[in-house]
Amino acid sequence: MAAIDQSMVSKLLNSTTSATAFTTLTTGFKVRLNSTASSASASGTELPNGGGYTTGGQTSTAPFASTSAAGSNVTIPHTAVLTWTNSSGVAWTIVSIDLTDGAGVRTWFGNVNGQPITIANGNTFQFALDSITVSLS
Amino acid sequence: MTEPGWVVLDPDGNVVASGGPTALEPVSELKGGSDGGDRPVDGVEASQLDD
Repeated sequence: MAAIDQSMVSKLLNSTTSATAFTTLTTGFKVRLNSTASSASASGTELPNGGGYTTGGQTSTAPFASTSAAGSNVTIPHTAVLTWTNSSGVAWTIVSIDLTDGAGVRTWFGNVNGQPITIANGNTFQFALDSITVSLS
Repeated sequence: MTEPGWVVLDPDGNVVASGGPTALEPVSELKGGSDGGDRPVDGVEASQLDD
C-alpha cells in the first residue's frame, strides 16, 4: 500500500522524467480524519461535519510542515498541535488520515499508528508536533 | 520517554489514550510493511530488501 495518492504519483513521475510542469498546490495544507482506511485511489470515510469536526480537516500555524533537506523526511504538524474536541454526542473512530492541500487535492494518506482510535464524546484528539512523518525512502 | 504521536484527553485534560508517531511512506510494501506485503521486486531478491 503506497501512501501517495495515485494522481500525485503520476504528477511526480511525469514532472521528474520530462518537461511536464508539476501543478502548483495550494497553501493551507490540512490533515483530514477518516473512520475507514484510505487507499491510493480513494480517501477513507471522513468524519461527519459538525460536533467538533469540519469537513476537509484542519491545518495549523505555518509552517505546517518541516522542510526537507538532502532527502530528509518531512514532519507535520511542525508549529502547532492539531486538535479536535468531540462534541458530536457520539464517539468518533479514527482509522486513517489524508493530507490534502488547501484546495482539497489529496497528496498523502495512511493509517494512524494504533488505529482504530476511539474518541468518546467530550474527549479531545491531538496530533503532537512533528508526529506524522512523510518520506520517500 | 518517547513523545507520543497522538493523545486522547478527557475534558479535564487527562491523557486517556496515546499512540506513537504515524508514518506516511511509499515504500512500506517493499519493506513488508503494514499490509504484510512481501511482493518481489524485479531483479531484487526478497532477502536484499530492508526489513
